[in-house]
Amino acid sequence: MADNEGQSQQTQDIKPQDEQSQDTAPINVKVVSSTGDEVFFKIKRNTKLSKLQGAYATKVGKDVASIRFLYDGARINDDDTPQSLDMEDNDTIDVMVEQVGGSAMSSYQYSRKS
Amino acid sequence: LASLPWSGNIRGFDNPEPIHRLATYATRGWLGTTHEDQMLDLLRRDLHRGSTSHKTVIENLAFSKFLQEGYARRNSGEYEASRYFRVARGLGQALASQTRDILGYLMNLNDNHWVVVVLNFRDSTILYGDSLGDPIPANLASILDWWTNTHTGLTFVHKTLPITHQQDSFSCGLLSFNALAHYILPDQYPLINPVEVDNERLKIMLQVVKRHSEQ
Repeated sequence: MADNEGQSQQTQDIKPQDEQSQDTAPINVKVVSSTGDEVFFKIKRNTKLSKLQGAYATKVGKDVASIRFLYDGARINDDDTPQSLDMEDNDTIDVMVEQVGGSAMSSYQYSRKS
Repeated sequence: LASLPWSGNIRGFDNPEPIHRLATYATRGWLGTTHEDQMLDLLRRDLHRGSTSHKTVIENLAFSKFLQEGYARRNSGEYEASRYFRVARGLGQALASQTRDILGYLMNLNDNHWVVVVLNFRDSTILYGDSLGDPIPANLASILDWWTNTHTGLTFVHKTLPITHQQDSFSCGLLSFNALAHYILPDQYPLINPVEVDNERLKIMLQVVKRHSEQ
């Protein structure tokens, strides 16, 4: 996430099903993968984030069910909107994929202290 | 178990996961994010039922990323100012002010190994548990040193968290969770006998099913 490798500068517009009201002003949201790749979206505050999730999954070519979208470290639910999560312009959504562990058979990416 | 449908999601947990993922508990397959999250939810429930819950925080699996990112940007001022870090910042402040005193979480190393971290702000210690007996990775130690020092101004002492030594190639997810639970609720969660890991996995699966059925 710290680097900009693979960053997509093209911002995609996500349209809401029901528009209008002062709360629907669009905000920019950055979706960041676990490897630091970034995709930018513009989304109205009353649009369900599930739409953004679907658009992101399509963009990266993955099944949306295999991806976890997190805001402030908490999983985003299907009915959540930027408004319901009190999101602001330029906020970040983190993407996590399912990780597994059983034992460390390969050499560690983490360096050993001793 | 016979009452469980084959499809649908598991109810009663923070993350709605498909029921079929429960099957992994009954195997020697590697446990994943789904299972670790479920076990942490069970621990939080037990913690909230007890008398010591109010000062202990069990963070979710994403927490380590915030510390890692904060450390990477520590010289930019972003950790102190950015909304992105507000949860980690708030928690650090709560721990430093003793509103909270213990933080525990699990993390995945290199997509193949679960380990456990406990930060005890009462006695300024960083405890690291690895079921394979390896010491804390140097860069993880640096991250934790930075975060604890940022919020307290103190240098925390590193210790090894008591954890059952793994004797197989699939139990780190179970044993890491167990070490965290044992540190927080030792009477309720004794350290697992390494030859009982299959039974212990089944016990957890039944707890998950019970909670699902109660919803």
